[in-house]
Amino acid sequence: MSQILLIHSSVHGYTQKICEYLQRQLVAQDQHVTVTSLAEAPDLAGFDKVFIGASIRHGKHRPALYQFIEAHSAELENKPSGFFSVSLVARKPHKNTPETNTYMQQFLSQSTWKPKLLQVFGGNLDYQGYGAMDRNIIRFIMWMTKGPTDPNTKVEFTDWHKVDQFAQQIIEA
Amino acid sequence: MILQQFWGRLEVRLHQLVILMSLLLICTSPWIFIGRQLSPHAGFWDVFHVYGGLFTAVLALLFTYHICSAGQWRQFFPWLTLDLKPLLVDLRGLMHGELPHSGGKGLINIIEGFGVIVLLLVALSGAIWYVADPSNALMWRSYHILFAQAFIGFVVVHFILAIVHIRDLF
Repeated sequence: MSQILLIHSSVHGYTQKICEYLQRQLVAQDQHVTVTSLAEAPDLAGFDKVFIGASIRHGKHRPALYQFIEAHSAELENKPSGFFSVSLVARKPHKNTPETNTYMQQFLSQSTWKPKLLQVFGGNLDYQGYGAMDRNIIRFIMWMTKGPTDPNTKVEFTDWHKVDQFAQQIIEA
Repeated sequence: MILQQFWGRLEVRLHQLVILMSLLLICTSPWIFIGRQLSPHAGFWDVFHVYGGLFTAVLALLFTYHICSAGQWRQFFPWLTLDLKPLLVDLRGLMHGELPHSGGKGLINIIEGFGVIVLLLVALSGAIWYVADPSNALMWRSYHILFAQAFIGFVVVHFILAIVHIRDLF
């Protein structure tokens, strides 16, 4: 049984939801899992494996993510570890792999930590959960990229089967 | 606890509030007529510019705290610790026609960091103009206008970078 730490950098709570789903899958396979936010992350020394999930805010992963990675780069490099990115762009079939997803490539070009295990998941579109400005900017972007624009849209673009596969990869890491 | 909850709610809206107030103040600035001090017969836009500006100065301070807390200042001001490698990588990429990525300590974050500095200079010069002795007020007025023009330049660059980012969404 491994001590696994899942850290989320979440704005509206959806990346946390994916982490909690992963936790349930891993606990079902006798793993000991702790889920925490970036701000409340405990000492990484107490864990065998560390995985970080981060969402996109205003076109990029949050600065706190890069700062956390920089502050813990030695521990992240020396343990089995991985990273997943959650974005609406990853709903598109040609943007839903680490190699083809712009945000993942952006992350790899800017991060000092280059994890071996990478994945991208589609995010959650919940217009009523956003403020008026964010809602309308996202609707405009969706209109340009041929996505849903109905202001009452609430849809999860996450491929949960892919999340299950990622859970298996965490166990095997 | 209540203060923490309020800060949590405000924090995610600070960027939008700063943009909104900055645009309102910039767009209405041609209609204001203030010299040394706010006159007793000042019009609505004069009063709005002074008190809306002071409110925006407070927002600017909170926004600066937001982006600098928990060591995040290193992501926006890496030049303070001479950590220039990501910037040089982005500049080399630009010379080969590659647009820089957002995040990390690269060119885009450094530009955003400079934007925050200019915003603070606009706020500071405006606040000093407000409290300054009338004999110095015109000097602070001219500084405020100069920094505001620099900030308008930053807003244009920031907007262009945001538009360029849209290419990633297709």
